[in-house]
Amino acid sequence: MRVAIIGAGVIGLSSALCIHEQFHSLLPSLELEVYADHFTPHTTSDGAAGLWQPYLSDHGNLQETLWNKETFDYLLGHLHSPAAKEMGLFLISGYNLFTEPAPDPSWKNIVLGFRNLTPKELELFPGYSYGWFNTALMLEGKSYLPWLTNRLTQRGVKFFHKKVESFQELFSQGVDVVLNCSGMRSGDLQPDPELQPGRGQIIKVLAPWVKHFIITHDLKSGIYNSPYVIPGSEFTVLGGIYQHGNWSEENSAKDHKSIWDSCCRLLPALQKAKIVAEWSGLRPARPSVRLERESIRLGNLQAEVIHNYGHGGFGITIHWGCAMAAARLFGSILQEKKQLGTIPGPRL
Amino acid sequence: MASPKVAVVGAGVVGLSTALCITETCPSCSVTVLSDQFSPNTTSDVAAGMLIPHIYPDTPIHRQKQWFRETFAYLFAISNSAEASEAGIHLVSGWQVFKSTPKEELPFWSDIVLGFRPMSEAELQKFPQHRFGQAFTTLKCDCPPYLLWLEKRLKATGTQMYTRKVADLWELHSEYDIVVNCTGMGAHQLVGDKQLFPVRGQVLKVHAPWVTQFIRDGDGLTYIYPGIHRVTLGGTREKGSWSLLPDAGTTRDIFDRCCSLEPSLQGAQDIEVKVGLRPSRQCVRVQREVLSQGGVKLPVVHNYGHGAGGFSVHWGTAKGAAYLVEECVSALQGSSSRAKL
Repeated sequence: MRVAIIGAGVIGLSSALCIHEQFHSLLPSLELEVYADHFTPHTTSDGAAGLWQPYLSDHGNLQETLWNKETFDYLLGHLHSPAAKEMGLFLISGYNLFTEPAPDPSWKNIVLGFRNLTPKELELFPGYSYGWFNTALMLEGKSYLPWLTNRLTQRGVKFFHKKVESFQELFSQGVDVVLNCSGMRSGDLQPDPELQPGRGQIIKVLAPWVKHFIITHDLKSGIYNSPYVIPGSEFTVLGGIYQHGNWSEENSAKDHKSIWDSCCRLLPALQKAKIVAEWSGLRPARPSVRLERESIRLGNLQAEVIHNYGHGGFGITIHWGCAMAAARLFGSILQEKKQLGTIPGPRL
Repeated sequence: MASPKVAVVGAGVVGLSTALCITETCPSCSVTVLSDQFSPNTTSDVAAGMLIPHIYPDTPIHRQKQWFRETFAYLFAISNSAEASEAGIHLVSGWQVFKSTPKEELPFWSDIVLGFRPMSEAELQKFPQHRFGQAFTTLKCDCPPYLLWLEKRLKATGTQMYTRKVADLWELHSEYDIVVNCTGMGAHQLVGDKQLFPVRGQVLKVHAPWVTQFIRDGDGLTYIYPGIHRVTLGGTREKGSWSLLPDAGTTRDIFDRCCSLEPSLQGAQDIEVKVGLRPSRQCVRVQREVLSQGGVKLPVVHNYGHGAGGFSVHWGTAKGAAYLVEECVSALQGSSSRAKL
């Protein structure tokens, strides 16, 4: 049973790991292969700061809220394990700021210690009159992706550095199931007008005195179009750009100035911070995550594709819940192909 | 007395902040700082610099609260400014956890720090051995940066600073009109204060940049305080011990206790061991005194004995001492005008 995963970002690697963990002992013939044109540190996931935080509203998409929660709980459970440091996983507290009162987010009971900001705390942020404080998690791509890669390599998963041009290409080579985790480029494999780039740009600085994340919100301009500061274990990420439909991966001087000026207004001490890098990336945005099976007829064969893409700016936040859902879909494929007696129960 | 000459003895956080306060409240004073040690070799440099007050049994609580409030407000303003990183002042959030519920639910400082509240059940799950906890956000003064920043501000006012071991306050009477004693543990010898005693503290300063939250056991013995570049792991409270030598067994013990609160510290690197003697006293001595010898008078203002709470109250006591210096100046001007009559 050959399974090919297209994409080696957080979604592709975690889906591969989840499937291998759950099925390799039940299905000795299981062979996993990861195909990607970019590996860490050149994936979209590597550019993300790594903060676990969903968008403000789930727009009634309770499925995604559940996947977010599953991811948070999974990561929280790993916090005290010896692997945490290698995974790039740690606790972090911080602020979400608004210029007017905002409804509580879907994730208020998922994170730790969620509360409103006190008047004295708001003094720290002139111009903002309302906000939240909570403790969440950081999962740094620069550590997590290599960690996932190592776990997969240990398990005998093979990696192929190539750009897959079509699902057919893999099926004609004898692959039985394809997991499409190709993020922004899913459209190249199968047109999807709902998938659009949400272009972001970030500036990485040295500011080790910043110990909290600070995310501002402008409810009119939309998510991530307002400055944010996210400290990592080595660098602090400054951002605040979300351009829907912009495919450019070139750094824009105008966006640089916008990020720099607005973040320095937010945290005056950043003026003294040394800039170490700048990066632009495309969030694979979609009205909802595409996580579903698709059976493709290829001649007299029925080929199975599991789509798992369109995670926008919350890929890290939702990844494990989606990986488990993808594994469940894989399980149902196996059952239909009569590869398994029964689908393993509670572990899923 | 046109320009009173004030000598501040001691260049830890108390000496430097007191000197700075004096330049602000008494612009006509000429201030000089004298110390046998400057940063990074002061007791203050060993401390983590966390703004979490220590209770002084014999200082009225309202005064301790006043000192803490003034210090917090002063540092809060700096942390919010462009100078924050240079001054080494930053906000840090975290938890104080207790194995058994503390006698008083609310410490006197709970309304001065930010966002003080009891920990939720979910948060307490991170600490299986602890049954109760408090979450809040406070400030941290990283040393050496904070002390170096104070020195820089002092130099900008024209204050001179000299490395000098003062063995007797009377040494200074011919050059200075007023002496301010901020010698911390040194006051034991310098002014023979037998109420002052060392409480030895050993700490580890480690590289663990993924630790963003402070954790403190309510017993005050075990704590994890993340600073700009290093995390301070502590500690010990050895009353009466004068030893400045690191103890290897203690290092192991501190590390183990901190790892049991924060397991990820197992991966900490570059462990540096430091020892400081907290200059402890039942109450902080912020007091005026006029020394007298052979008809010569020497006005002295004392500001020492801050024990485990130096950073938490330093600005408040500096202001208190500066006020007493003003009183000394007035008294000298009064007597000099009397002399002129």
